[in-house]
Amino acid sequence: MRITVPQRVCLVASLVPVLTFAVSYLLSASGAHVDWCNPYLDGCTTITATGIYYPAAYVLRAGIVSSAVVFVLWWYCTHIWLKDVKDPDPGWGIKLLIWIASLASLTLVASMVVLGENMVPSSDHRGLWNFHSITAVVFFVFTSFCQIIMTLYMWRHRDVLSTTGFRISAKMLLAVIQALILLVLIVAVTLGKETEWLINTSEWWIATLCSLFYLTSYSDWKTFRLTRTEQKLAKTGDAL
Amino acid sequence: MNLPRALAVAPVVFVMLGLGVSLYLLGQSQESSCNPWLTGCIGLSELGVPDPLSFVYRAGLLPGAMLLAFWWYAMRSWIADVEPGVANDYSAWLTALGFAAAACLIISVSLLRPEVDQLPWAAHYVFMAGFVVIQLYLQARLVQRQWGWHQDGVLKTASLWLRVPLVLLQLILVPVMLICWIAGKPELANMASWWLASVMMLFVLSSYLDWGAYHLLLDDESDT
Repeated sequence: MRITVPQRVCLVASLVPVLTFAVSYLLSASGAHVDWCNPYLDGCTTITATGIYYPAAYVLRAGIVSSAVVFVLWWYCTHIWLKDVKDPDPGWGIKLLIWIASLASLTLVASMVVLGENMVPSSDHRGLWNFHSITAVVFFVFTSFCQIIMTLYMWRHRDVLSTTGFRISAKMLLAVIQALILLVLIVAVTLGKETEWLINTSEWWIATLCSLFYLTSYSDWKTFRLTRTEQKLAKTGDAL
Repeated sequence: MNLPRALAVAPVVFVMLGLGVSLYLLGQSQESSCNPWLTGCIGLSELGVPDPLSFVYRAGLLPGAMLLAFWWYAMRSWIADVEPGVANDYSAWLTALGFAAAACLIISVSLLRPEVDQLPWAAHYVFMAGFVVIQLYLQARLVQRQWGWHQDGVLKTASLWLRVPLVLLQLILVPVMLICWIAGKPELANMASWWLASVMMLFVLSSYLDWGAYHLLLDDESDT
């Protein structure tokens, strides 16, 4: 069976960012700009640090900005899929959630375009670093939040949406881990106990989990056709 | 607005806003304003080099390029919609080349950096040229197909009469740009490149005219 367009969106939205992180880390480490380690366990570096020096900065910039556009498309597909399988309409809350997630993806674009050797030394470019950090945090927090809420929504309506078994358990697992990491981070920052290791490893894990979340819709969308809904909406005179 | 129409507008908005805001910021940093369409005061690539112009430039052109790839995807399905008997190979390579053009533009823009002496200009120009050549080839082939539809009475589109001069103009602008560049007339080459980019984007926007009643119909999206 051929892979459908929404399934291709799932694959691109999850694999491109993860591969981009890996390639930019390897390029940065081989150029001795970051340490050789396992960033998920050792927390020796941040994703941002892998995108400062060239040629890794080219890769991170191109890969993540392109992925951000595909993230928006993934949320659009989710919106259409929910309209397609759920009757009545998913409601304004979910529509708002999808808008927030799409806008959060655009903040990732803003966050990535400033990266480069122009940010070195960091002490001379505090404004740029602050801009990058704020937009990146907005992306991660809002995307994780939207993914967690979407998972809860799909769990509540799992019978109607046919997201039972592995389909929902994979989403739940990713959402729970993301929620735990965010919770630990918030508590640590509130108490002033955040360490470099905690922040660095959290960034790698959250970024990877957010990306993998997009893959969990692959099996949900086996029979979902973006075009069928388009045709149905066209007949009822409702524009997308 | 339906999805195909949104796809006709979105890449143009991103690209032109990216270029327009970058030009505005350039004007703010200089004593005299710069209109590259009339004076060729700055090249398309040079605009994306200095900070903070490059941030806006990238933020406009990188998502714009990705959206351009999706535009070619929508174009593929539109062709299949208008001409159901069209060979799938034709529409498949159309999309593949459209994505290749977008990838060339993404790589080309990503390579720009403020450290001019370390900027890989050769690679930047090769990928930029790849984007222009593929994009122009695809647009010309599309016009050829639309012309065939018009001749055979399959579909008479208003966009055809806009697209024919747009493609012809591009076919004139590309050699003009190259000749001026070789002849050491950078201002004229810059002017030609700005007009080329604008005409290319206008071509994309012209699909807005055709896609009012079109709702994405893909041959590979039929129920299995």
